[in-house]
Amino acid sequence: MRKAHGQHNLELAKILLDDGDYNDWVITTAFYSSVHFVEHALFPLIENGIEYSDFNDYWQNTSKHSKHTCKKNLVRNHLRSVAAIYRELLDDCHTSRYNNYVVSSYNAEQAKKKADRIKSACLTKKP
Amino acid sequence: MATIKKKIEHSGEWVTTPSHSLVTKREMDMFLMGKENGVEEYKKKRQDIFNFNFVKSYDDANKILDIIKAFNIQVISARLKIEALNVFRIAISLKQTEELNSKIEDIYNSIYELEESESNDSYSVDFSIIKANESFDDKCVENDGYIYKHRLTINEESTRTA
Repeated sequence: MRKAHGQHNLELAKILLDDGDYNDWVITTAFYSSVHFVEHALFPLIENGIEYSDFNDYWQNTSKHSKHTCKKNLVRNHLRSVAAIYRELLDDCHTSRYNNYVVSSYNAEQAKKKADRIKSACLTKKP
Repeated sequence: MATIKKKIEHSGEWVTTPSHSLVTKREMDMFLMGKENGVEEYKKKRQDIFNFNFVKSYDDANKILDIIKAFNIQVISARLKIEALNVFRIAISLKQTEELNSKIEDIYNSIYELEESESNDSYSVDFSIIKANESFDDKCVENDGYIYKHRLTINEESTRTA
């Protein structure tokens, strides 16, 4: 389910990137593709002997932070090779409004490449 | 105590789930200590925690700014948003250059390390990086609740415009 939705969003990111007119949405779809692939790779998760079936189960029972903060810390702990780029996508997605949603083609291409890297790391952990 | 808590959590139609209790242990302690003493002590404790965390967040911002400057990346602004007396968010706006693109992963790894080493139950700091382009508007960041601006970046702004 999560994996399929991650792929769904990633395919949209590619369509939008090829179009060239929606770079802000390339960033958004690339990030939300990664969110789903990460959840696919990490759950069910066993931590301190307790099994958490999905992200919401984990967040409600363990975290004092926002959902995004909780998830980026999970990525840091369990998918370290892509933790920095996951966080970069998160920030790019949440801060594009400060640039009046003006996103360069370079940044859009990089976002798609980063989402591809995150997908690859997630599917290596859990096919 | 259990009776009072039960009354609050099971009044009317709304019933809290166990992981979302409406009454914290601290609030119950305050209630039991008696109104005046409890309220004063509670306020002072909160003020002390806030004062300590406010200064600490500035020091932590400096640590990250030093790392960024060592990479020769131009800092446009650093701003603070306070979400709770123990939750501090810092947004650092950087001019997007090739240098930034090549160092961004190192910067994020440094941020992760600092957050992990400095955060605890009474203090949590969370950094965001904004890649600023020609359309960047620092006022939008401020309007999102980042109302405190780092003094160092204000000084640098004055130097640039002088």
